[in-house]
Amino acid sequence: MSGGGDPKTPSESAAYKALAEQAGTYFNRYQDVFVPLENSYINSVVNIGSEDTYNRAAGAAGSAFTSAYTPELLNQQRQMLSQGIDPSSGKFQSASQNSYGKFGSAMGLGVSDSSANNTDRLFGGMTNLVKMGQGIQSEATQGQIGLAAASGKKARGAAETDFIKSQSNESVVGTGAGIVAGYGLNS
Amino acid sequence: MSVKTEPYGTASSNPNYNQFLSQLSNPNDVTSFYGSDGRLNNQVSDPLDVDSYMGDDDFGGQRLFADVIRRQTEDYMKRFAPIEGALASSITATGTTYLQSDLQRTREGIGGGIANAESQLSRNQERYGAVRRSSEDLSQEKTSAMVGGLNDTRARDSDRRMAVLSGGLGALGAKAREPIGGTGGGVGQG
Repeated sequence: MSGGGDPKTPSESAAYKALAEQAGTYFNRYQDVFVPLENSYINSVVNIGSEDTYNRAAGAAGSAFTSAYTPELLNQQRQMLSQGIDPSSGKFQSASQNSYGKFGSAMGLGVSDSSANNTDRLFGGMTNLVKMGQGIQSEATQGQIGLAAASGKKARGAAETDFIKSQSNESVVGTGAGIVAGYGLNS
Repeated sequence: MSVKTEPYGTASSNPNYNQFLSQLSNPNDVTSFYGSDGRLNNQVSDPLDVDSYMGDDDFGGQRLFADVIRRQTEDYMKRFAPIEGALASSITATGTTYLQSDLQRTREGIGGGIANAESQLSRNQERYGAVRRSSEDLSQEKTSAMVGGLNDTRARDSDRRMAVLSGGLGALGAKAREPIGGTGGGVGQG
């Protein structure tokens, strides 16, 4: 930075200096205000990958599927009993096994889906962090509430589909038309 | 969740990177890296003395600009480069390093769901005084769900890999190839 040595020639314009001053001021403010917030966000993203978060997601999904299926399972059994079908009969047991099998499968797949969703959230969060570091606009990360709502919706949809299928296949004994319709699964 | 990674490029020589990876393996302790108050523990919080550049000496503005860019780059290397390294090194030939833990959770989830249903079915049968036959377990349903669930988990992991490779690592490569001379928009400006 020799500056040329001519005292009559300004080396930098006042506007340039002002811009540099603004950049320095912004940088200090960024360090004071935004860096702690960014680090807090980094912490939150990394914690998405904790076992606790996975367990919470799995627990919420399991509860959603239990809530969606249990009333239908009980209702199916009541229907069969009211039709005089002996619980020891092959018919009763076969229908029960079929329905509980669907419940177990749906619940297991729902729980594993919630885990995969959580890994997606972790990757989404880390991708956002990369973009944040590079000064690129980031995208919103799906929150845990959204994740739980998604599990609930899937559980209700699965229960509804399974019980409608059961009826159309006549694996639910008797004239069970309308069993599902009255149970308000379509929320 | 643990991150199983191979050192990626030269990042493994960066102590911050290694520390970050070990902390990421134990997220409860990650605050020891980033600090409980959000400050990076080993980060020098040393604001630029802007006024000292604004004297009558020549090129104070240029020196200040240069120092801002240096500090931005240091900040980026300390806080964000380790995350880029972790994300990049999670990529494998067919998916990500998260696949095995996801598959394990799928096995546990489906196994748990079927066990739960079997237990409820069994209690139900007992309630009605029916003797449950051994052939009436839910192993067939379990096998079927397991095959579907594991396939789905693999497919999702493969999708994640593609998402990272097709833009998840940001645009640092493009920025690095940009001609020098533009101001602003540099790395680390949040």
